[in-house]
Amino acid sequence: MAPARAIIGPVSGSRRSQRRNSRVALAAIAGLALVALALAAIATGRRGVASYPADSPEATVQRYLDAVSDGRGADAAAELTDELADACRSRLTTYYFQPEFTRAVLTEVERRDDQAVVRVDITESYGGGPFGPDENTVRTTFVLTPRRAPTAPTNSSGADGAAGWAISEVPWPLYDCPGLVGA
Amino acid sequence: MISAFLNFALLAAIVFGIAKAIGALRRTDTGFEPDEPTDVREAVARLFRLGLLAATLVLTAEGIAGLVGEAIPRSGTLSRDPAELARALAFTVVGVPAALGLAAWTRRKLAPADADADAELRSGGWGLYLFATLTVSLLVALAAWHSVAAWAVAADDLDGDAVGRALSWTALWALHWPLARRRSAALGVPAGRAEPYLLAGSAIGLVSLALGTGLAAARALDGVYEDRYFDVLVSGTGVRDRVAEQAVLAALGGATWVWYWVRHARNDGPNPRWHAYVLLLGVLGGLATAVVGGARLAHAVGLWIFGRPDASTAAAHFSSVPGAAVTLVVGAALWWYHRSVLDLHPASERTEADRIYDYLAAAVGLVTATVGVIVAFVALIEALAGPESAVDRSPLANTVVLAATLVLVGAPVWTVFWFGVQRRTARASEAARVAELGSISRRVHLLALFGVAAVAALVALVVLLIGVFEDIAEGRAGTETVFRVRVAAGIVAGTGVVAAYHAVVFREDRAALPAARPALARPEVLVIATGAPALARELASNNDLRVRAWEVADRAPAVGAGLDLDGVAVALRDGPPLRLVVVERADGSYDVIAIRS
Repeated sequence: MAPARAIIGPVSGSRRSQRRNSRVALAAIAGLALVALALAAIATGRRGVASYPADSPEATVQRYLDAVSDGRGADAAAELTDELADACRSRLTTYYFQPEFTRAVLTEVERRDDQAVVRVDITESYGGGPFGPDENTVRTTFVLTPRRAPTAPTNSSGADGAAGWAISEVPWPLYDCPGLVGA
Repeated sequence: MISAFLNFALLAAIVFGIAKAIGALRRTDTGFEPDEPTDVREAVARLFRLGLLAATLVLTAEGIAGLVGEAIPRSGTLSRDPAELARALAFTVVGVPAALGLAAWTRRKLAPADADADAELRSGGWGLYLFATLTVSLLVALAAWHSVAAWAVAADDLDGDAVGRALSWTALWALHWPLARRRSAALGVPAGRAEPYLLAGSAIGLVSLALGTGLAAARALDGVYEDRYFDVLVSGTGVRDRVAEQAVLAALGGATWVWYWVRHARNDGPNPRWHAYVLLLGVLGGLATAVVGGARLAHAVGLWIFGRPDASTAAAHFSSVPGAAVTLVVGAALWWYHRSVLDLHPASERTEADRIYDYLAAAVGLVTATVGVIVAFVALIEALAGPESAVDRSPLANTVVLAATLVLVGAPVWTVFWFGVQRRTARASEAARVAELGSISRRVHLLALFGVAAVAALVALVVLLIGVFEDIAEGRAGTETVFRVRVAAGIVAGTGVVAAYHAVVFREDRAALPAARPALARPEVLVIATGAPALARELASNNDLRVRAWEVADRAPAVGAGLDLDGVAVALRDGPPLRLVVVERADGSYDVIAIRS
């Protein structure tokens, strides 16, 4: 009588080497997992959070993001130009515009005489999935202009007569602000 | 990404549960349908009792979890909601006695002294209950252990409810595991057979392992990349904690996968269920993951060389490369491992799972390539007819790079899988060719692609004509009109070709099939013998057959002796007849009788 397996057809003669291949594959995957864990041990963001001169565009964006992160809408609005702050203050201070984000990484800064563009990768955290919150990284751009101070001399920002920088275009996480001309 | 997967898994579980419930009244978990008369009243009563038991067990587990949670101090919580304690108490007070009572009732039904114990143990309702309880308790326990472990290794707050849930749902799982093994033994399922609850656990473990490993590695590499090239402005959660969270998921998933798959299900033979799991989840899932990772890498490189990237520095532009590379490696590892497992149990015949694999991969490749062609078509019109005043458009070079990436990724996948099937079918024997052309997978593939593409083409054609007629009526038809309807025109061109091609193939298939297509039916075997159920189960477990068993009374059992199972399979494989009757003679040998259709 033919065994039941024979119904399916012939079994490969090189079963042993195939089994070895399967084990090699399994070992390779285990190795991959171990490498990932080893990387986890060494990749620890050793440099920590960066610090910049207080009147630089980077510091302005950093203060803004810190304030948004902590839910301090009024402090966040203080980093915007006066016109933008008036238009956006209500949105920034509304509770549902406090996003949860885990990380903001500065990727690029472009400076011109009257404008600075700061690009930041922001990792947003949302939802409460069974295996922890989901994350999504968005690339955002902050456009800043020098904040004029009548008595201030030339400062380290490089903009003559400027006293630091202010965000001049509607910033993340807002899309528009009520009453803003051209928004 | 994780919640999306879990939503999908939940939906799949619901669909699977409904399908199982429909078949549960009659079917055991092999392909064999027992021909014993089914007492519908008893089956409905059983489902009701077991459904109630499952519900009270959930109440009990959640109630106990809530009580444990109340006993554990919570970080960052000033006061507790008394309603939570009240709810936990109510769940426990109602759930525990009800669950104990129903469990005792079910235990009595399963006790050897009960006349119907064997029927209870073999019933589809009991199998469905065990499948659902084991799978749900595994999922909930894994999520709860993840939360507890994330508190231990990362900076997460301790969730007392999670501790309670981890304990109560793990206990629920541990209580049901031996019951499932006992049922398998009673059904005569060989050790190592990949039963549905084993494959469900294997899938949960595999996906958790792959996601956890991939996300841990991606976050770790992102951390290294950021340290090397960028500055961190704000860090709510440190890299180490974010990696640890996912490493915990990988460890839990790995343990689950090793227990379910490596220890219990891996060494099963090529039965359809095992084959479908390895092929569709492991091989196809791995391939799709690797292709997505490769496509992201190719797009980043192409955009940098030929396009106009947003970022001005290479470091900023290629910041997505670590994640894409990890996706590629994880997908390739999944694909490689499951291919090697498949090689251990080569099937001589092409199964429905093989077909689903080929047609799904071909469809994914074709859709990707078609989107690429549409994007390229739109880019071409923009280049030829785009007015200077058009603003807020992606640079043309970027659109071309996107189109090229989609085509370069999708076209090879479609070509390999689709023309592989076509070539194999053309060279196959008549019976195999008829089986392929008449298979449900191929017909669904052709009709779905034709239907979706045709509807998309028609809708786009309507949009295109509205734009054209509008401009004609207003007397402004010209290159501006062509530009305005460029997307609709691209969709009409791309999907129209796809719809036409698949309509032609469908017609060719129909013409090539015999007028009467008995091969579309599922072959049937009726076994009349002593020990018929065991024989029937053996036949059904390795072949896509519908097997009925009629037990011969008043004869000493001689299970399987003298029956040429190979001959039965050959008779079915080589075309009609599609109905066989296997009858045991008085001397213990067998007659195999073909039935005229």
